[in-house]
Amino acid sequence: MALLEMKDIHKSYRKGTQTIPALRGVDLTIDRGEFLCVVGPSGSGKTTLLNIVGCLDVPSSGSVRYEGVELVGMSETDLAAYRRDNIAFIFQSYNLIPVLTVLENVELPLVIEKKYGPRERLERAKEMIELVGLGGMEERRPNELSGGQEQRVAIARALVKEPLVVLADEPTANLDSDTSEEIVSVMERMNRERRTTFVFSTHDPLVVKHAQRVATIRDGRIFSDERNPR
Amino acid sequence: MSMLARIAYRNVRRHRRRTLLSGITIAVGLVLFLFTDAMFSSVERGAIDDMIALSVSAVKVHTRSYLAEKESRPLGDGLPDVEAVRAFLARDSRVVATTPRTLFFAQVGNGVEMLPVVGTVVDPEGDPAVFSLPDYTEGRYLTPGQVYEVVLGKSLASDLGVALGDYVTIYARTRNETHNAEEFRVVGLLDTTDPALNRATVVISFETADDFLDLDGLVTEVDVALERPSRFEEYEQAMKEVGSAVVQAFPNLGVETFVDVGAGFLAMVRGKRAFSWVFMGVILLIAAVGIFNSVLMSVYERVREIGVLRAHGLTPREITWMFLLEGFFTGLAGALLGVTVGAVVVCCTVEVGIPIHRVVGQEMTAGIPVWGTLHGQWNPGSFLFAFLFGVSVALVAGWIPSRTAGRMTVTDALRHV
Repeated sequence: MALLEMKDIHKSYRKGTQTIPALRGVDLTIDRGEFLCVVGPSGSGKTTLLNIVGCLDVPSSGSVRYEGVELVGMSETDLAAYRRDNIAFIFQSYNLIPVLTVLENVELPLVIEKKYGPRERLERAKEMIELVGLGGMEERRPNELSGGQEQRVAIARALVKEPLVVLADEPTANLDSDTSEEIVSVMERMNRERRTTFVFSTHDPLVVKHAQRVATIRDGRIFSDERNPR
Repeated sequence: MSMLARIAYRNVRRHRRRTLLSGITIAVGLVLFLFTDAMFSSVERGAIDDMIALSVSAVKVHTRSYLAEKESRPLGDGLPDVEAVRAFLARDSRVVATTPRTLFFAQVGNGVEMLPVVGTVVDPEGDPAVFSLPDYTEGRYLTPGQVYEVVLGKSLASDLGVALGDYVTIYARTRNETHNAEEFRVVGLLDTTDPALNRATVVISFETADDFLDLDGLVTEVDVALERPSRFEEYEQAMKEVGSAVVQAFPNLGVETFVDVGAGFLAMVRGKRAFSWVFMGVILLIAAVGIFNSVLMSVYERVREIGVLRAHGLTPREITWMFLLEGFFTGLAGALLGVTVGAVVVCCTVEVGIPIHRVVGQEMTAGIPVWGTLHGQWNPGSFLFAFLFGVSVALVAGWIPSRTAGRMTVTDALRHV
């Protein structure tokens, strides 16, 4: 069974009296362990697609199924619970919680998930921080880190709860190319070692180069969907 | 959830200046409330105790017919068996002392002018056990065995231009409806907290009155002093119960308690006390606006953070709670500061007091008969109330902006720049 199936997804927004279509009949299937890039020009619908995949937004019509479970029509509270248990996000501007330390930021999804006790949460968070190469920086605050380090923390935060899918919206947009290379390598390693599914929205050729599959979106439709030999 | 509380607490600490400002506003409101509450409690208690100890007494026993005509102070309507009444009262453990008194209308003059007064006939030995007039007397109080001595209100003496040792003439109608006038030596001047006593009272002894007013032992009232519980409600209850017992035992007699006589005064004092609530209400309203603004600013500064937390699976309700906790922490800090500073201020008023004459002058005690150094009074219930009220105001003020945070759309919040 596919991890995610999107069928005939339409999404439009109202701006004043106008209705602006963002997605016009998208069909997309994602399997477990894929490393997928969604590329396309600005305004093509990449972020809208990612928001729907991440249950942050609901389509105007169509069907979204995770492991066969239909998400369209779920309440906001149920969607929040689904996100909490299955989905993680990496954002372009990292979006770490400024008042929490590196360790607390990474621990946060586990606290929200309420699946583990305090000791296990701490162990998992520390392990993940080591894995992204930030061992020894657990007690630092986000304002004491470089951009690359912040994004590593964001990756650790996304992966700590072992989600089904990690959605990354332009994760390297604010990083220099060396740091971008490192970050993508970390994610690639996680994908390989843990079979975590990654879905990127990006313009960065570096990320595209590492992707197994590249879906191009244009004017709200999937224009092409190709597999990359890595 | 402890992480939400941690985030809320650290955000409150991060915006120290904002938190401090809102917290201090709450604290000021609570301190003012606690101060005014302590002072009004003290004034209320002091004024009530003074009135009872100077002129009204806790319970007065008259004949029923005297009660019906008491405004004219009739001398023909004395208590039939004073000693039986006093013996009955003495059996009640709440009764501290009893004393007989007789009131009469008179005029007092200095040879040039006459002024109307209320005369009080007292037993110089027993009266101080119920009334505290000797404590407020300049010169000396009446002495047993000495006749035709008088204690005058100090303002009255001043109006007449007489001093201690001078003689005044008192004109009065006797029990036998004849008129009598005699010279009295002024041995004491009453300088009490009750202007009516100071301005229009003469006090003479039963020994003198038996001769001067042909009283022949006539007593128009028996005044009763009761034990004073700390709660006025218990005191009030005791007055009513003792009064009822007398009426039951002596059907021809009637009683007046302080609650009957001082009803107007009690209403006035309680009305003044409402000012402390108005004070607190206005200042806490300002604090509420501050907290509302503070939480709202916090919400709009952290819209993306809200989006991230929602993306990680926090529900709208949990987001609302997180911001509500910020309001709560601000309120908690303000309330703790308020009750702490309030405790120091009240402690100062209790231990040191406020010299009321120096602050407002003798004639400006707002109609409440207190003076000297006014000491505050501890009210633990008011502290608890103030603390809870301060925190509640913060929670109520933080509710709307917190709900705004909870209702934000995740995608809009994440797009926020």
